[in-house]
Amino acid sequence: MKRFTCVLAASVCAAVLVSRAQGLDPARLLKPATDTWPTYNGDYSGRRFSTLNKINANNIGALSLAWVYRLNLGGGPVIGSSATIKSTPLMIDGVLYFSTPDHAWAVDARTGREIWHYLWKSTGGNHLANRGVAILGDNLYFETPDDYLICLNVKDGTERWHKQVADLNRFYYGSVAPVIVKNHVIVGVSGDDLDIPGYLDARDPETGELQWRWWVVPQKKGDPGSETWPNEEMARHGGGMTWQPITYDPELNLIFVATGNPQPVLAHKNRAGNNLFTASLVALNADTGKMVWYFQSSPHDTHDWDSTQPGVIFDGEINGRPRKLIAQAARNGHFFVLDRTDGKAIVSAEYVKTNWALGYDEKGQPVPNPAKMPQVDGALVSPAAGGGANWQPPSFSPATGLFYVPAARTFSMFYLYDPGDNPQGWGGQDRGGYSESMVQAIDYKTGKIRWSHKWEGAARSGLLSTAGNLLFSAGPGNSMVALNATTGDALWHTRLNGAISNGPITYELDGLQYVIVGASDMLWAFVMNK
Amino acid sequence: MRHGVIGLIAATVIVVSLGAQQPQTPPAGRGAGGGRGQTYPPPSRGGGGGGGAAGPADKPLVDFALADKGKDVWIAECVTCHGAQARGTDTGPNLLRSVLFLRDRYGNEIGPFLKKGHPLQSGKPASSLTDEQITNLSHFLRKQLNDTLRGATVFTVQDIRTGDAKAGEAYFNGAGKCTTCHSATGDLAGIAGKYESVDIQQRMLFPGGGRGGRRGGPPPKSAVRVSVSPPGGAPVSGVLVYMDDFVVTLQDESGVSRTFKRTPAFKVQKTDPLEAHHALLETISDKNIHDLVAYLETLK
Repeated sequence: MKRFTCVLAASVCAAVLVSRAQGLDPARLLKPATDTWPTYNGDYSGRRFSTLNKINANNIGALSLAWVYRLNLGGGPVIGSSATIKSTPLMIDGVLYFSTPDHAWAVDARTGREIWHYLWKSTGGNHLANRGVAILGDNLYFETPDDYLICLNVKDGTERWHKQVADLNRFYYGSVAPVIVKNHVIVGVSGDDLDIPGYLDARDPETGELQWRWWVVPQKKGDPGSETWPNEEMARHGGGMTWQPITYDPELNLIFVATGNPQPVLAHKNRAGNNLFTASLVALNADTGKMVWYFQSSPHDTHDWDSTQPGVIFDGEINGRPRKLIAQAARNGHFFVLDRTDGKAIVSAEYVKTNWALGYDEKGQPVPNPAKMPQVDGALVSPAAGGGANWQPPSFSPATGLFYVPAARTFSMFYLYDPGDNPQGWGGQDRGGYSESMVQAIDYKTGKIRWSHKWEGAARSGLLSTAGNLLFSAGPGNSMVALNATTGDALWHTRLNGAISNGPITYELDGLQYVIVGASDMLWAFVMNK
Repeated sequence: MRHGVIGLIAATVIVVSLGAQQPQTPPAGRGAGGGRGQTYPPPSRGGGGGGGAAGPADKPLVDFALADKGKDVWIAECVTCHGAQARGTDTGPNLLRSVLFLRDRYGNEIGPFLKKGHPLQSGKPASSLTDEQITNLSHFLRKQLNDTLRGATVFTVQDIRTGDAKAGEAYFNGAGKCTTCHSATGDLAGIAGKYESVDIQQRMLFPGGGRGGRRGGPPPKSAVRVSVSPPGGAPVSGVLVYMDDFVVTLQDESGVSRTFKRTPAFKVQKTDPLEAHHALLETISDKNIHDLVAYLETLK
C-alpha cells in the first residue's frame, strides 16, 4: 500500500511536469530562474552569466558526462550546416529546444531523449547557420534559410503557421534566433551577396504579421543617416544585416540591435561617407521600432567587419558613479563601453592589436585609415575579415567585472578586385592569413586586458561564465575547457566529437547543475553529481 | 549626338573586352593555413561560387553561349541607358538590383515587361524582340549578376606588381633581415618562374600552409619543434604534433609519437622556424611588401 502511494505520488508529479511542459510564461523572460535558459543568451542582457555555483572552480574535476544526443535529421538532406548545431538551445520545463537550418528539435534535458523533430522542406537559401529558436507560451519560432518565420506547437513540434519575412530572390536568408520582447517576435535578416538593405522586424506572435520594421539603411533621401551616403540608390541597397539576436533593457524599453557591414562589401568607391546605420549598435523603442540612439563601431567599413556582436547590458560603476552600461567587442578588434541611456561612449579600446584605425573621433568611434582599405595590389590588415571576434557570443561576469571575448589576432591581405567607379556585391576579398586564438578578459572600466588565455591552436566558441568562478570555452583539438574566471588558468577539459559549434549553457534540474554544449552534430550534457 | 555615339562605342568596347576575358582560376580563398599550423577560420558566409549556395534553389543557370548572344542584343538595344555591366547610367537604372530581374526565370518576367512597350535604343518597338532574344538577354543579365559574387571567374586578384625592385632588394638585404635564412642565388633562385606574383606575396607573408608533413615521411624544415623536460626525467625533443594546456604530443627522433601530461613543473620549449615571418607582420609596411614582391619577381 505504501508502495502504491509512492507510485501514485510519482504519477501526480509526472502529470504536473507534463502539464508544465507546455511553454513559457512571459514573466519568466523578465526574471529567468536557474532552472531555465529561456532565450538565446539565457536572459535579455546578453551576459551569458549564470548565478549557479554547484559546478565551481574547486570541484570542476568531478564534472561527469550525463548524456549525448546525435542529430536525427528525419531523412532530410544534409545541406550546408543542417547537421551542425550552431544554435544555442533553450531549456524550459526540462526540455531543450534547438535548431539547425530547416530543422528544429525538442530533447529531454535530463536524458537526451528526442521528444520531437520538425523538418521544413526548403526552397533554397544559404544554409550557413541557424542560431536558435524563441518561445512564447506554447509557440516556438525559428527562421529558415528560404526566409520564413515558422511557428510550431512547442508540445509536439507540429506547424502552426509560416510567414515569409524576406525575399529569397534578393538572396536574403534567415539564420538569426528570434527574441521575444513583450508581444513582439523580433526577427532579423541575413545575406551579403547582393546589395540589399538590412532591417529588423517586430512580428505578431499569433499571426506573424508585421508590427513594425526598422530599416538599417535609409530608404529615401532625407531619412536619418541619408547624409552619410552619396545618393539614395546606394543608401537603399547599402546592406547592414541583422543576423545576430538582439538584447533588451525592459526598464528603458530599448532593444539593442547590432548591425552588419555596408554593401558593396570591400569595394567602396560608390558609397563615400560613414554609411549609417551599418556596422553600428542601435537602440530602438521596443514598441515602435523608432531609433533612440546609435553608435557606429565601424564607420565606412571596407573589411566585412559586421558589428553584429551583441551589445551586452550590465550596470556598473564608472569613476565612482553607478551607470547603466552596454558593452560590445566588435569584429573590428575594438571594445566599447557606452551609456545605454544615450549611447555616449565611455571606453573605446583595442581588445586585440589592430593596424587599420588612425584613432578615435570625438564620439569614441574608430577612424579608418584609407591606406588600409582594400587595394588592387593588396593591403596587410589586422584583423582579417574573420575579425577579432565573430558571431560567437561573449560573456560578462558581474562576479569578476570582466568581459570575456572569444578572440583572435589575425592578419590577411585585402585585395580590391573591382577598381571601377560602380562596384557591386563584394568587389574584393581578403586572402591568406595568420591567426592566433585566445580568450581576452577585459576590465570594463578601463578597456584594459586583465588576462589573456592563448590557445595552442585554433579555438573559438561562444562563452559562458558562472558564479562558480568558471568560464567555459572551446579549446584546441575539439575540446571544451573550463578556465578560472578570475585568473584565466585552465582547470578542466574534455574532448568532444568535433569543435564546439555554439555557445555553452547551464541550468539546474532536480538539484543538479548541468552544462550543455553543441559540437558538430552532437549535443553534450555534463552534470555535477556530487 | 556625337557624345552618344562615342559613349556607345566606348561601352561596346568595354562589353567586348569583358566578354573576351579568359576564364580564370577562382580565388583560393581562405583556409590556406595560417601560422603555427592553425587553419584560418573558415569563410563566415558561403555565398559566391557564381551563385553558390545563396539565393533560391531554382535560380537560373547561365548558358554562356546564350549569354554571348544576349550580349549582342544588349549592345544593340540596352547598353546606352543601362551600361556595359547593366549597373545603370545617368539615364537608366541598375538592373542587377531590380527586383523584377531578380525574380526572372529565363525571361518570364523581363519578357512581358519589355513587350509592354519599353523603349529600345534602336528605336524599334520592344514587341519586335523575339522570345529567343529575351531568353538570351536573361542569360546575359544573370551572368552580369553572378560576376559580382564571390567565386565568379572574374572575381580575382588583378595585377599586383606595383613595387620598386631596387627598394625591395635593399629591404631584403637590410631591414627585412631576409638573408638570415634566404638567399637570392640559393633557395629563392628562379622563384619568379615558379609562382604567380600574388602567390609569391602570400607565401612570403603567410608561409607554413600544410607544413605538418606526410605521415611517416620526414618532417618539413618549417615544422615546429618542442623540447620537454619532465621533472626528474631526461629532456626529450622532437616535432610538435599537438599541444594544449594539459598535454603535449611530439614525434621523437626515432619517429615515435609520445604524449606527456603538462604540469607547472613540466617545462616545454617551443621553436618555430617561421617565427621571423610571423614577427614581420608586426613591422612590415605595405610599401615594403610590394617592393619585396617586385624584387623577388626579378629572380628568374
